[in-house]
Amino acid sequence: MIDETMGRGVLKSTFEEVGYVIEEDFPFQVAGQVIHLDGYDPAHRVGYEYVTTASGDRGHLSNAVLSELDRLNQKRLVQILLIDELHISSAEELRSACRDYLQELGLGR
Amino acid sequence: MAASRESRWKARAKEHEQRSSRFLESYQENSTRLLIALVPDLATATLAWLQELGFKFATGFAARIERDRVHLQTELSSLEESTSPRDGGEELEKLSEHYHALQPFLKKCFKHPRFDQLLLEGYGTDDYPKKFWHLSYYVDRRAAREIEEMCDGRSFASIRREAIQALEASKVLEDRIETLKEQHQLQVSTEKRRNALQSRLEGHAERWLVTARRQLLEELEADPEVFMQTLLEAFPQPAFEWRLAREVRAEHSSLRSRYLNPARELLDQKQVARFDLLLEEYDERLGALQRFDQPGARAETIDWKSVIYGQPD
Repeated sequence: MIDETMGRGVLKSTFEEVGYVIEEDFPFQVAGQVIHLDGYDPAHRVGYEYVTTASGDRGHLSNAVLSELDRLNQKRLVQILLIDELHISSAEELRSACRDYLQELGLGR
Repeated sequence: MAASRESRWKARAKEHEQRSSRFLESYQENSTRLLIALVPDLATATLAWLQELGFKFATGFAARIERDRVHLQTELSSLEESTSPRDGGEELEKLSEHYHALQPFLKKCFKHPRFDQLLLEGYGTDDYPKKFWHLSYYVDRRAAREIEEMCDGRSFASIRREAIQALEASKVLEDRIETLKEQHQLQVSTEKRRNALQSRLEGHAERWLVTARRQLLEELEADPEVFMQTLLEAFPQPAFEWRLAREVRAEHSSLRSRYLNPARELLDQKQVARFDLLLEEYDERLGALQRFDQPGARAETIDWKSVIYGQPD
């Protein structure tokens, strides 16, 4: 497991290395409320949310918010990668899986 | 001179202990002889006579023996009825072989740290809940590919099917093997108990004879005066010798507390004159007892040929 700061650093650099311009703590309206995404490129509607217990994400991201994010992702209206810290054991694993995601979606540039 | 007294005392103490052992041995031998004479068997007449003499243990002794015999025989019969003729050894061996044949594949799969999680989450089935926008979807996918490589390129779905079948079969086999082992253990312990019961029944009379003699001796030792007169009349020699061995042993034992131990204290207090006197008294008392002492093996000292022919050989 890696902490919020390190996780966000890895994600930002990985998204930016394929050309996205990431704004951190981006306010995003979803399911009638505003959440702050850890990283988001508003021009391409691409971003990520690193869910950690320490940052209180598990409280902020209600089931309604997660369901709405799932729906938006499913319809490809946005491409927001959801990462649960509990499933990540190292920075290298995070980077590698993040690259797989970008490649899968044809977002890698 | 002090050193000489010290060594004298030590020599006396050592000899005293050795003599005590011999007197004890002699007492035990005489006890055995007397007990064999008094309780040659457990016949009704013998027990009745012992009861007449006043030995309390003899009252109801025959009934106790019979109760014990019936109890042993009942347990043995019950065990013989319940013993299963089948030992299951062959089945156990066969199932163990099946079980062990499944383990290398499972071991190989579970060597990957994420394999059990992939199984639990249903990776490779429609039940797998993760979507492509969950990062762990990619972590799982990478792990599945590594596992496929470990299994010679087979698809994860196929590996999963075989692993689940092997796990289920292993569980069934484990349960059956455990049951067979328990049955086998039960059979072993039943057989052991059966042998023990048979052995006790075979030696039943002998064991109770030993018990009778032990209980008789306990009563006799507790209060010899009650029985001695009758015993001396019925079995003069073994009764006399037993009584003598008992008295000699007790007398010899008292010499330690009456002379040797006080002499030791006097020597420590450097009261050498009184020490010498006490040791002298010890030696005098001992002199009377020594004729009952038989150190070493008893040797034939009589020249029988000379007795018979009136001349040495």
